[in-house]
Amino acid sequence: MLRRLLYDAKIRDAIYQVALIAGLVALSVWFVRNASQNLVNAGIASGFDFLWRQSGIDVPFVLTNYTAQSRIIDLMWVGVVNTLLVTFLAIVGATALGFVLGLARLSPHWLLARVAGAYVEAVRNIPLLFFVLFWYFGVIAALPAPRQSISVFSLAFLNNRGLTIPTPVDGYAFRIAALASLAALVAAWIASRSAGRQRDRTGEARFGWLAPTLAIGAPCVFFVVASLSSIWDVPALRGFNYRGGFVLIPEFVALLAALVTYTAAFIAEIVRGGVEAVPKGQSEAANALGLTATQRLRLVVIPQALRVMIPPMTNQYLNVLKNSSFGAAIAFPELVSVFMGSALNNTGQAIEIIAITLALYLAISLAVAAFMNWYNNRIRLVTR
Amino acid sequence: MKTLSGALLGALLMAGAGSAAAQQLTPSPTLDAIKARGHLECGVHLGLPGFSFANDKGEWSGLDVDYCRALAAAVLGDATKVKFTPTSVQQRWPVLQSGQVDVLSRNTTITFSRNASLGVDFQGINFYEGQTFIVRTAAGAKEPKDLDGATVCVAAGSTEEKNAADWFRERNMKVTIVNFQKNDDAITAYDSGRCDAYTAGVGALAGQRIKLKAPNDNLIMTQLISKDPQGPVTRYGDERFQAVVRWVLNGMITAEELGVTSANVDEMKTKSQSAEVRRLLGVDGGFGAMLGLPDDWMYKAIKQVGNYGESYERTVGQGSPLKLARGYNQLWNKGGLLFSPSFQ
Amino acid sequence: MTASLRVWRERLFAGPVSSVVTALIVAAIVAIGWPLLRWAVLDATFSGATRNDCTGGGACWVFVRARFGQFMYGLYPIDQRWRIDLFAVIALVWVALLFVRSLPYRAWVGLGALVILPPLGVWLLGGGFGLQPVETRQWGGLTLTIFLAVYAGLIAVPLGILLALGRQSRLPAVRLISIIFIEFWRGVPIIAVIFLASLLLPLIMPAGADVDRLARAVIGLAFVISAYMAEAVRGGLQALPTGQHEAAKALGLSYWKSTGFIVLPQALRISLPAMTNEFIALFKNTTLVLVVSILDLLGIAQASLADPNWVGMNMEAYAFTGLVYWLICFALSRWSKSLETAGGAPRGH
Repeated sequence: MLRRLLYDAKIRDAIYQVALIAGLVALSVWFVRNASQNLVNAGIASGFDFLWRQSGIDVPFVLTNYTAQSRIIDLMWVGVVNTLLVTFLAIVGATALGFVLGLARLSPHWLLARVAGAYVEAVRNIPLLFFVLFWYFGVIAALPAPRQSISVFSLAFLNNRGLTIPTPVDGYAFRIAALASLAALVAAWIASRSAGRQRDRTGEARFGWLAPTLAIGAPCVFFVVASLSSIWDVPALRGFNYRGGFVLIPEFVALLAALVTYTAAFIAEIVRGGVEAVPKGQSEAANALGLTATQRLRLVVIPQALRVMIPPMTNQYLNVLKNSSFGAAIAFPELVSVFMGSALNNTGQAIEIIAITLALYLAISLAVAAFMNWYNNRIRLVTR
Repeated sequence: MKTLSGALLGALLMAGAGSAAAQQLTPSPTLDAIKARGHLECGVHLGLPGFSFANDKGEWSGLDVDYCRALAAAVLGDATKVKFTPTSVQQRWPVLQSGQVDVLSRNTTITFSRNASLGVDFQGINFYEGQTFIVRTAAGAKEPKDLDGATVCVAAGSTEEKNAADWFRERNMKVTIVNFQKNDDAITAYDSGRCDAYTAGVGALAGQRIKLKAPNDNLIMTQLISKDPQGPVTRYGDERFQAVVRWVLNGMITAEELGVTSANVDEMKTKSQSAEVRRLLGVDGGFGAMLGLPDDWMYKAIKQVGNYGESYERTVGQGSPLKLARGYNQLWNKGGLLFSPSFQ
Repeated sequence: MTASLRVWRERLFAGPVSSVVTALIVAAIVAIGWPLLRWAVLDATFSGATRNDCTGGGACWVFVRARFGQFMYGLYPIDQRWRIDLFAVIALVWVALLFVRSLPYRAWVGLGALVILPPLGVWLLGGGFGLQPVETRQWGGLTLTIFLAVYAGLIAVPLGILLALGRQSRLPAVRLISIIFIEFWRGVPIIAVIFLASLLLPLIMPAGADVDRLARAVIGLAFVISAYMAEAVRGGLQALPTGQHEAAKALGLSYWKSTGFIVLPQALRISLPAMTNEFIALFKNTTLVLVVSILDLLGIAQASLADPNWVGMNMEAYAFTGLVYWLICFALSRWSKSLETAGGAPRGH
């Protein structure tokens, strides 16, 4: 009886799984017990109360209304915002540069293809940390001291403390402009859809110009109006450095440059693989139809290559998010740097802070992956 | 019984035998562990000339390192039986809390919140530090109040990070603080022109200054913006080990006050009539045994490492490239703040 | 002669646009390359003993020469360095033998390398059993970098294979646990994982049980890389026609037998290039251990920059160590490329 039960595949499977889960649960319980015992023995404070304590830490690059008197949870939020900002910009930049490099590698121009190839081979085989340090100390060394700043129309000033740009004293006009631009973008989307439908129906593209005008032109007008109607805080040299305005710190520029130049090499390879995966017949057919080289690339090759490229691109985008943590090596106040660095040292609550940090990264990763999956499903080959 | 003796039990039995000889000693798992493994584990700074610095052969030297050597000599009779774990600002607490090191002697400032919430205890002061700034002479700033509008590099998670923020805010000065994860990164960034000033303790600045490209073009301000007393740190619990840590430091200071040096310690031990010298060096009183140590514990420490003054001059004072004056770190009867409780 | 000239004209000056591009690229190469060449070679100082010997205005390679031993071996005792050399020679010869296709008993030699070399390495480097013990805190430099990558890889590959199989398992609990494990480690930055391993591991172990500092870094890296390895192996498993599994089942082989003898050998051959790329990524990421003060190649280079006798050698230190990383990664990626073209695709369809 018992023998038969043991040989029943279903029951055996169940036993395996129960044993596995029980083992894992036991292991985690053991870890948690050790940890709580160790904490009690060592007299280390625990719990999440520390998040609401005053942080007392000054951060050089803040987009929220954080000050040193804010709470530690606000400091964490500064880290999240900075991480998201640098990740987003790096993804945009790396994608653009990666496309250029990838297409250059496939170019019929011998030297251009070789140079792009050499760049990719050189960059892919060097640790990112070198890039970050290279850009950081390179950027600082290349820029002048504040008194010898490079002035851009006496409005913005570039020196080794960063790029100081004027800011509006009151952001009201800009908030309105942003809302109006958003509305214009929605209108552009609707216009492009209806234009597309009309083209499908009648074969005529009549209001094709409307959508791009709405999407690009309208926001430009809104922001010009907003900037003209605002009072500006223009930086001025006083003492050690320029006062007023907003400072784009060198750490930010260096990290962004490093992420873009490094990731672009990987994206270039993905682009090349994607384009090479498009059957030659497609290009030839496009040629036969009389499309120009640009049209061929834009309308025939790239849309098909994108389908192959999206999954590996998703991985690269997630890598950019994770690699933004290299900012900790050059004092850019991103999540690891301000939270696992400054906040952890000031509170000593390693377990709580590491758990929160990991959870935040996981949440952002999952959000990016979900978005890319949605996009992937949208552009998937639909068999009609 | 013998069949049961594991390493731990053996150590317990040894402690038991010791207590029978002297008196009822509180158990000290840390001391037992040090004796069982045969060396002291000491957490030090990653690399701060004068305080703890490893040369290219991996040999450590410095004021904080000397203290660990003296502690090893007192506990194990041999100043070389100590191993150093270099720790960053971030690592120092977990390394101590989790027991990877027995004691942290790492240029670490004594503060209330560290004592109260990190489960660590400070066992005295081996360096009266005060925070100030180093600036390029060409910038023309002489005092901290000249720094309005400046950019200041600092090590993240240090007391200096918060001190500087508080000090400038209280004076309504607009200063940009750039927080680096390691002191060395902060000093490199300062040297390459990223910041107008770098802030740390006077002693630490003197040590860091020799790492600059042109040390003499930089000025260490004399006005201090904080009091940062520093000393050896232990975990909560194990009071007997804490007493050892405390009294080795007191012993080094007392030795200087009493004129006991590594050169004359043998002579003092045999010839001195001073009651306190005799107790310090273990001739009378049996003080070592009260802590569960041999009676010549401080003799060994002073013989092999020297008294506080010797250590100071050798590592950060006139005998070193730092050339720091004694300042607050002079004995109380010579105008400083060092004031050790007595060996009675 | 004229034929080759024509080829070059076709390649570089096919039209006006092409000519402009060529001119721009040549100008850029000269603008970047010439100062670099002057710094690295023409104005550089190669011989001497101290910083004062460097008067050329270019790179001071004297620094790299003076510190070369440390860059390779870290703070390993100088009179014991022969142990590292010995192990390097044994490992290189052994692995090189595996590339000889006609070698008799090649599979057994390979298995022997896996079984014997790792413990032999730990013994030769760490000491004990007749050798003078050398603690891991004295290890460093390139030795440590390679040690970290290889030993983390040795844990990550089998773990990754298990995870990939687990992800395809028909047991839901196994599948779920594998997916959670893989996605967790793929979702967090390695720098955070190294912090985690170094700060948290001592706290969750029972009091008194100490995990070596270096072992902690190896475990942290291995967990992350195993998740990436699992995805690489999964690619191979999915590329395999289902017929293979079904045929094995028809022969009456158990799950482990059909996996071990039929499915895995073929799947691994397909995923080997991807796995090599993950190993390259691992090798590059070992640089992050310097955040927990472990002195790998980059770490020891940074530490040597703090030496007051060699102030201002940043460029030299980073250029040299960067070149070492590049050479190793480039060789590995070439090997991975050759695998892709040689035996990557499954044969016989």
